[in-house]
Amino acid sequence: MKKLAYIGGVVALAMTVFGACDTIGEDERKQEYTGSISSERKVLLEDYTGVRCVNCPSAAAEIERLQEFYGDALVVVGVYPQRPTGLTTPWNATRDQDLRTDVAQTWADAFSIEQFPNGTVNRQEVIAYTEWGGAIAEVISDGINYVDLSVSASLPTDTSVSVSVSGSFVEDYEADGTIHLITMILEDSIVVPQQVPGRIDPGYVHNHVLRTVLGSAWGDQVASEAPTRGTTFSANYTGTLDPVWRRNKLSVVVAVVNNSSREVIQVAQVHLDAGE
Amino acid sequence: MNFKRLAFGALLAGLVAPATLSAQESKFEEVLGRGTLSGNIQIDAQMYFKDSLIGVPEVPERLRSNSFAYLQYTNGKFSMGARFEGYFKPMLGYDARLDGWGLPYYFARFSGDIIDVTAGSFYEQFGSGMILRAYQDWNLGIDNAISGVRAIITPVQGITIKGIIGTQRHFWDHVGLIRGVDLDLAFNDFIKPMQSWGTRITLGGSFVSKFQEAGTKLVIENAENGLTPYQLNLPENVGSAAARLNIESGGFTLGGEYVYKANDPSAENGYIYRPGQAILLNAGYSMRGFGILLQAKSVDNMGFRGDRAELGNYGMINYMPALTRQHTYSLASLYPYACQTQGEVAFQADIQYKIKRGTVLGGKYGTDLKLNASVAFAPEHTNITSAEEGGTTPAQGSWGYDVKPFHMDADNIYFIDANLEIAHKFNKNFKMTLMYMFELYNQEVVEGHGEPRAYAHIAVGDFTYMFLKKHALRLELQYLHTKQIEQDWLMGTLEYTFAPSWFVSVSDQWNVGNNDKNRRFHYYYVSAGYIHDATRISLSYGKIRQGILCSGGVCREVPASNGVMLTLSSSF
Repeated sequence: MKKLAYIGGVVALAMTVFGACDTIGEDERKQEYTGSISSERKVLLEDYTGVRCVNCPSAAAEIERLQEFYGDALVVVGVYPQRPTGLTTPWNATRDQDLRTDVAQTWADAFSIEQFPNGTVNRQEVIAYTEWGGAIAEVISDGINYVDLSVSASLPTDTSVSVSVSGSFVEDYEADGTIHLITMILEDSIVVPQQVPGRIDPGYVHNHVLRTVLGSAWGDQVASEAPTRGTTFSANYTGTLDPVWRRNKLSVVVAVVNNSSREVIQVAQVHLDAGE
Repeated sequence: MNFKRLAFGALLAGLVAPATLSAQESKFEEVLGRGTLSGNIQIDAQMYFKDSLIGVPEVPERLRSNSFAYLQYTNGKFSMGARFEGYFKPMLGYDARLDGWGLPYYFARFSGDIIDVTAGSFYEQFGSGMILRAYQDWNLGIDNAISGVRAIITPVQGITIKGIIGTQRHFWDHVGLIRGVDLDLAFNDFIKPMQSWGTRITLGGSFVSKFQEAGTKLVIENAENGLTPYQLNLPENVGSAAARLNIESGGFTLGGEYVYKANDPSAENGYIYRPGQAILLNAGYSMRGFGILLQAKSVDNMGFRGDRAELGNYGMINYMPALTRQHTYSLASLYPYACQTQGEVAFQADIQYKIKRGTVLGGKYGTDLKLNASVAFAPEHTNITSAEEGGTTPAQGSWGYDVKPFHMDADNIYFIDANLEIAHKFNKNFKMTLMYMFELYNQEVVEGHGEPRAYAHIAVGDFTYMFLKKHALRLELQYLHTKQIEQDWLMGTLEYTFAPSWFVSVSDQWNVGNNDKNRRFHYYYVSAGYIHDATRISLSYGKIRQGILCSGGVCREVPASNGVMLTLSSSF
């Protein structure tokens, strides 16, 4: 009798544990998203990827959907590290087929990214591509805009780029950490073979590929810790263009980052026209 | 967190260090003196050399090390322990998130007659592990110990009730809130009439549930009026239940386990709302000189993690047992199968027979025969709700697809392994093992790229010659023949052992048949070691080839390496 009581007690306990279980009915699964889709604060999405990574094209397809949906509010950078070599080694050995950069590896090491595809939204958490949409939505609907940022860029000569940045804090930013600017040069529409499910696609188009960073990999300081509302900053950068890059496909991305938490608090992108 | 560890460490040190106490406290000291201190320690360190030919990555630190030290104090029914781990940096092949050091595991435990309580970190498994398995595998860098409270109640012999609540270790963090209860009934132990039966029956059941806050999950769909965003309503509590039965009678065993997991949309299953199910069945018979074991497994949508956004090899709450033979010979495990948690149907048959000594084939000592065959298929998915017309990927936020247990897609084979092993001892000095294996490997599914069907034939000869009482020389020759992937491999190993302390071995794994003549590399390996009681030291040098594994939606690499490795381990 005592034994039955024990067993009965356990079953009751088990029901309680299993009762702690949410079942979502068929018509309750999705609801239309009513949050804001535009904001003063832009979001930086960095996609860590490699030409031998078979799951990476799925992440690229998700990026296309997100870009079409969010438009200017979203800035995307494709980061191609050098390791792991099994996922990143170019299919052809010529220099113009190599999308990898040293700065990409520096960032991948700092975020402990060894598996692809993986990414960061405003450099907060390393998350899989299925989570990017949700993370971007949270910043755009709830994030506070701290910085008004203005970027202009031009190609003064055939082999150089010049970038001019100015910004001002429209809110007090109270976190620890100095404020840095990271200036990136991206190139669009690069055709380089990519592993896709079942085969290697020789005509795969890579967009928003990170080509270089002007200055240090973690940026240069433009403001001290906890800048108050009204603080302004400005910076000018110049850089040399690699002849392999096509000048009419380039764009400049400038990110305002907290150098301690690495959080991206504002980002802006301008496309370069070869005619300028 | 750090303060807790410091306090615990201080308490442990305080118990261990001899203290000068007054006469009034000498009884306390006496009780303390009856306790024992035990533990184990291991240091693995590897130094890397550049080798761009085989694809060795650059290692700026040159030397990397994984190490741990475990101490446990036991005094009668009470025990407490802590394990320190340090990865300076984690060795190649181990996840970079292991970088760091600290006390990730510590506990205090009271093991009474009826009740056994643990506070702190513990490992646990319910049944076969398909509903819950918190375990550690040092060589794989996996440790998902649960930190929390566990109670094991044994009201009478034969009835075991376990209750756990806690959070799981995820590198240097914790993820997920897990609660579980398990009941195990060994009827023969507590039902008086059954105590004398020859047949033993055990019945078990478990319930496990996890909690995680919902967060924002956005799905952007192509509707008639353009891109429409939806937010998914995610279940914060996901429950799962299991039932198991085992019957043993004479030499016969029959057993089965069924696990059901409620809706759990996650990154791993593409955010679909269908439940998950797993069935594991086994039947066997053994008697002296003969044994047979048959197993069948059907799994659908059983990825169960503390964080629904996690992909890859870490963060699991449960564990899917592999129904394939774990081979020790290198070429037999060159293309190993990785269990597909999203779904598979697998079968395994294992027959062992000993040819009696004195017969023609048995010789003086008898001959051991082992026949093993395993196969894994993709499950058959029907009614797939896809975003595109006729697509095979279920749409996020939908039910997903329909599937029936043990219904397989016969055209989509994941893996076949059929092998025969013959072991024979000729005389007191010489023994031999021969093995032939046929393998079908779906590289596209297991590694995420490559051949959908790679066929390989593998032959192994393992010969040991013992002489001068304590010395032994072992020669191992292996050959793998395949027309796919990297084509043929030849491997030879020579190992010399001077029992019980010393061993030296030399081996070379040669990609002799690679279609690309420039890639016919030799992966040679030299190692030597010393064993004394429970202490083992080994030093090795060699090249290890690169491997890629794609599981659960991400691809990760096991890098090639060229280096010297030192392993020191001891237990006390």
